[in-house]
Amino acid sequence: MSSFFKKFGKGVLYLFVLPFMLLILSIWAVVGIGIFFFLGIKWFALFFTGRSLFDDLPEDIKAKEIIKTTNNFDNPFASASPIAQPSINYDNSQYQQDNQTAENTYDQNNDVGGDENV
Amino acid sequence: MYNLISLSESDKRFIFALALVILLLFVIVWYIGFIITRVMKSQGKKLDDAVHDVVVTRVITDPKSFKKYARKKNWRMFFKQAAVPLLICLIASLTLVIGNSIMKDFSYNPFSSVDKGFASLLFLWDFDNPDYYTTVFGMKVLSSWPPLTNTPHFVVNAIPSYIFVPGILVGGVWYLIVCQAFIARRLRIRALSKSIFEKSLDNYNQSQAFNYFNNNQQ
Repeated sequence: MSSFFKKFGKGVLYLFVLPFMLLILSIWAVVGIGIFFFLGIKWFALFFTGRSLFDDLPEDIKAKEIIKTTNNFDNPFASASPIAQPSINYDNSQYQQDNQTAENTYDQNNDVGGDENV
Repeated sequence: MYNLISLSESDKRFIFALALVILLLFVIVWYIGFIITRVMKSQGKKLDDAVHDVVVTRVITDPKSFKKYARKKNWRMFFKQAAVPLLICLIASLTLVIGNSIMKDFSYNPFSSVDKGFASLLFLWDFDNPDYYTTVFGMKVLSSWPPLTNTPHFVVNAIPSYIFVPGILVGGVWYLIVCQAFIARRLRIRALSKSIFEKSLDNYNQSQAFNYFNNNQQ
């Protein structure tokens, strides 16, 4: 019930504010027509010089350059080039040989037999 | 004194019904306002797409240049969006002017139901007739439904009006929605210019921050 009365109160508020909102809207509508024609003339003039009204602004060009050079532009602290990772192309025979050498070294150092090691 | 405020049973019912209607009316107004607010928020959000890159890449680092840049973008978006509705209005107006020039008649009302008006296509009732009204508490209330004064009929000479009136209505309403979106984006610019570059000291304790730096240096 209280939410219903809250809605009622807001409805009263909206009703009082509505004329002002409409006034602001109508002012912007009139200003908008003026600006529209101004931008229309500008667009027309730029069209004949081979440019467009919708060309990138200097800020857009800068931002695009940064995005191009940066991989992860959402994180400004991310490095431009990826960090070198160790290679995963590991030779299996080399791995077995290394493992065997390590086992032999361990056995020699600890003086243990093959079966006792289990 | 007591007799002055005594009301009949029908008066009480009428007041109760009136109060209920007013209450519901305000709730409906709230609902319309709520929908408008929601629509304006979603319209304002569309600005984010236009200004996202320059903010994230830190090309713009202060509220003043952000406002300047975002307003430029906003006017461009407005120009793009307003082009179609204003073109519709322009074509509709030109149709009427050309039609009237051919018929050599600029005197009629294109909205009226007589002769060459658009309302010849509508059902119309005689709401102007005072015989169909009654007075309750000093207010004029409709007592019975008035008779039909116009049934839809096609008039060849009214063709310019048939194009002009829907064109101007559709174009006008569309243009007003575009203006509303423009205002919504403007409000968004103001809000973003404050929030993006905000330096807040909420939950900040200098002594803790000092200790943290000292510990890390050791």
